[in-house]
Amino acid sequence: MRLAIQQLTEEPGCDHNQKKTAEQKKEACKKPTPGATAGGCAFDGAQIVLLPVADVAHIIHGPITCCGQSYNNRGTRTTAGNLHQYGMTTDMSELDIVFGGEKKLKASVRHVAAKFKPKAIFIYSTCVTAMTGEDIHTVAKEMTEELGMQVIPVDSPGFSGSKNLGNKFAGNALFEHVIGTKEPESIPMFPINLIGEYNIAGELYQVQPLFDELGITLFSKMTGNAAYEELCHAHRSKLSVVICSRALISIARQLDEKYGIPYFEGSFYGMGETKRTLMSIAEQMGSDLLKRKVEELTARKEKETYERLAPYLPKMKGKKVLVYTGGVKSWSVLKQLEEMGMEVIKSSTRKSTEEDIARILNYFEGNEDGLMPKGDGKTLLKYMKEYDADLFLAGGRNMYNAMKGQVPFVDVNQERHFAFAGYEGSVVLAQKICATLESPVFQLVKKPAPWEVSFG
Amino acid sequence: MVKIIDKPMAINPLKKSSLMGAVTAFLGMHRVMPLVHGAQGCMAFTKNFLTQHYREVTPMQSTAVFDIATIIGDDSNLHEGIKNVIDKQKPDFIGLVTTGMTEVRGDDIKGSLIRFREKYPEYASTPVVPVSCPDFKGDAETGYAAACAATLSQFITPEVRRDYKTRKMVNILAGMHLTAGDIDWLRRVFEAFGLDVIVFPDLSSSMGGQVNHFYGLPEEGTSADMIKNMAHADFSIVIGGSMEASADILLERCTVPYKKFDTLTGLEASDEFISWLMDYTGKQAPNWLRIQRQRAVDALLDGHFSFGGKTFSIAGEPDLIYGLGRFFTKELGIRLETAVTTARSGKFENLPAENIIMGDLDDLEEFSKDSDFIVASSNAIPMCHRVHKPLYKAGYPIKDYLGHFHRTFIGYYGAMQLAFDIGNICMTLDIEKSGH
Ligand code: SF4
Repeated sequence: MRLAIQQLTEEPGCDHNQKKTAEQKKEACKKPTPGATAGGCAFDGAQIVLLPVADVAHIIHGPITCCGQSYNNRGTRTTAGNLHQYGMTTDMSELDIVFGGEKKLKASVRHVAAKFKPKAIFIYSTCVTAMTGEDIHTVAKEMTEELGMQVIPVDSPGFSGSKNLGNKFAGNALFEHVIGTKEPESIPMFPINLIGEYNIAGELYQVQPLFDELGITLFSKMTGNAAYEELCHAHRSKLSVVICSRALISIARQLDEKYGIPYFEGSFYGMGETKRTLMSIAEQMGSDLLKRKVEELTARKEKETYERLAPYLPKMKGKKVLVYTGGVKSWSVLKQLEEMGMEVIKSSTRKSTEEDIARILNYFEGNEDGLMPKGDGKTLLKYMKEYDADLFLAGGRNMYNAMKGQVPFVDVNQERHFAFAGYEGSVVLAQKICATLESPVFQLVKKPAPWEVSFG
Repeated sequence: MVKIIDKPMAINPLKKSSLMGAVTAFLGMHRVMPLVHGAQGCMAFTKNFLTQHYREVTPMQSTAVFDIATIIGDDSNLHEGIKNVIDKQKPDFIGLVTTGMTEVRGDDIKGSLIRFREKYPEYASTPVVPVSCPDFKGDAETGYAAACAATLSQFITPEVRRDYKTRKMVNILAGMHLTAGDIDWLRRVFEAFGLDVIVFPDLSSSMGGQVNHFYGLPEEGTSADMIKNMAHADFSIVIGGSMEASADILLERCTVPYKKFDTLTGLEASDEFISWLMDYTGKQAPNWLRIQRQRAVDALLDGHFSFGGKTFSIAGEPDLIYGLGRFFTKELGIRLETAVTTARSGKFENLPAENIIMGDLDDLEEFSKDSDFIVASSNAIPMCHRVHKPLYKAGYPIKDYLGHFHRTFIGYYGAMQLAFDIGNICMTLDIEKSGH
């Protein structure tokens, strides 16, 4: 297993590693600092990728922390099933650890197969089961034979690394055990893989109609609103579009190497990016008809959207935003905000690839002041004050930091309830931003208490 | 009789690990950093969980044990973690919480801490309280209680007893099931009887929203000085069976006697508590408390039309479900179909339930077919949607719901509020049934 982990961290398609010297590599993949760390573990990352597949069961092999403190907590939406709402774990006890938990894991797989009749079962290793040497691969193999149902091992012990590494583990499991295991009955005209889009708060639903109208088929969605079956068919797509640049580029690369499916990175945050992404698809498909359709559709949508945005734009114009998010969002959201006339004062570069950073820099016209490495709540609030920012846009982890600083905040995290993708998403985002900026609360909370007012 | 369901696994676990409970306890202590010794995911999940529950900044850290092969028998992550926390945050002390991983590895925490002290004398002024929290044993409530007991063992030194007749100061050993609303009520009652209190731990102050600036360490909870002062109290009261070990430490080391209340929920439990306070202080109950009792009685009368003939099921940690379950059955007269819990502690086995199960929310779903409503954490929301039953939220976590932590579930006030809440659920069911 150690070998496997090493191989994954040296992922050549992971562009933040590709062009680097050994020294830089060490820096980029550096270990978290004990006593000063924030992110989740590799198991968390693996679940982010796989859990949206809701017609398969997900069994976490380990003691209670991994499942008990994490389940029922994702903003992903789906119509393919409801198993993503279930937390399933072998809940290892002390005795299980002493005597080995493989029997229990097998019994759990049988139980889940009988009770839920899922399309397949993913089993995840975690810190404790990886340390005690539980062999989930053999269990998976045996159970696949016994049940006649795919049981798929996911190596994801938390101690092996960060969430990003876990994303890769998940991608690896999909590539090794799922993709290419079935053949589709028919292949549509323009089939694409959409990789790294998890339908958080229903973002996929916001862009799906665009694809429908263009006649492009989201043949295999990894993994927002995905059914298991379509994941098996991914090798028959003509193109992969990777939405989160760093996490799952490995699948796209493997699909390219093994099946000759080209890939590129896209985004649906903002009208410009949405258009660029759709146009790239049309170009890669080599269809002039499709290109014309994209032109027409995006022009119409942009016009419509600007009309819908009209009441909001004056309120947002020139307002200053601090952005603290990760990966592809760190630059695509900037463009989305720019389209709405807002001014971003700083954006974070955590979890960003070199390309992401280059794009952020591009936005700030080369001024490195715009870049913000990792920051804790205190630093972020300090920037808000220093730059006299009007709005803080970040993940949920910072929501209550923002409230302690009494600054207007818009949430862009995993558990949120609002979707910001495509044309529809820009309108929703504008509505959210205006509602927050206009909230009377922020004035009111600054009012002194009666006993803070001095008389005379 | 406690039922064990023949199932090899947990589906929709009710149980949270002991490390989550231990971290929660430390969040109720002033300027204490909970430091989770393990890979970083355990801390990240727990932080996310508690942040959503309290809707507050929840400081905690991890020793971020990485690559397992290089660190067996190695102190470096633990030592570096402690040093970094002290350098950056300057906590009054550190609550060091282990995980399943470090427990399986057989880390010798005590030995490692001794080596830390030898190697880094410059950090000597910051105490570290270690708590063993293997997540393959116990539940959140046991972890919470263990963190409290570990803290007291470290800070309470044997004291010579002084004057027994002062009767001025009482320790409140507050179980994990208590809310800020509950603790506020207790403070007010004790004040009315002329007693000073130390609430330990005090999540109402640290996680209740009164800290109005950004903080890197929990503030306003029980301070180290207050904890040391607990040795000088005249009495301790224990709320929730799980907290008895803490009271025992104070009794054994400093002969502070104690009284245990398994629950303060409901009219009878409140009466017993107030009677004890009247005996202890020789004082009469204040007028506002009498009014609260009358209102509680009136609420029970108003609600009883709809309580009768109803059935419910409940899931949660032992201390929590004992109090609510007892009140709903014995005082409201609602039938208890199934009680699901996570550990064999406290008094929950005395509940008049048809099924008492050590299990998960899947068991609750399975064994609540006759129930009109469900009492559980917000993790039961998907289940209640599936079976179309109202959910009364109680326990951990309560997500996507404002103000739960400020509701009161104990005392006369809590009895009144619970009677109203449950009465409203029952009345709505009646109205729906009658086809309006
Ligand atoms: S760090 Fe390990 S034990 Fe903790 S949640 Fe992640 S996989 Fe589970």
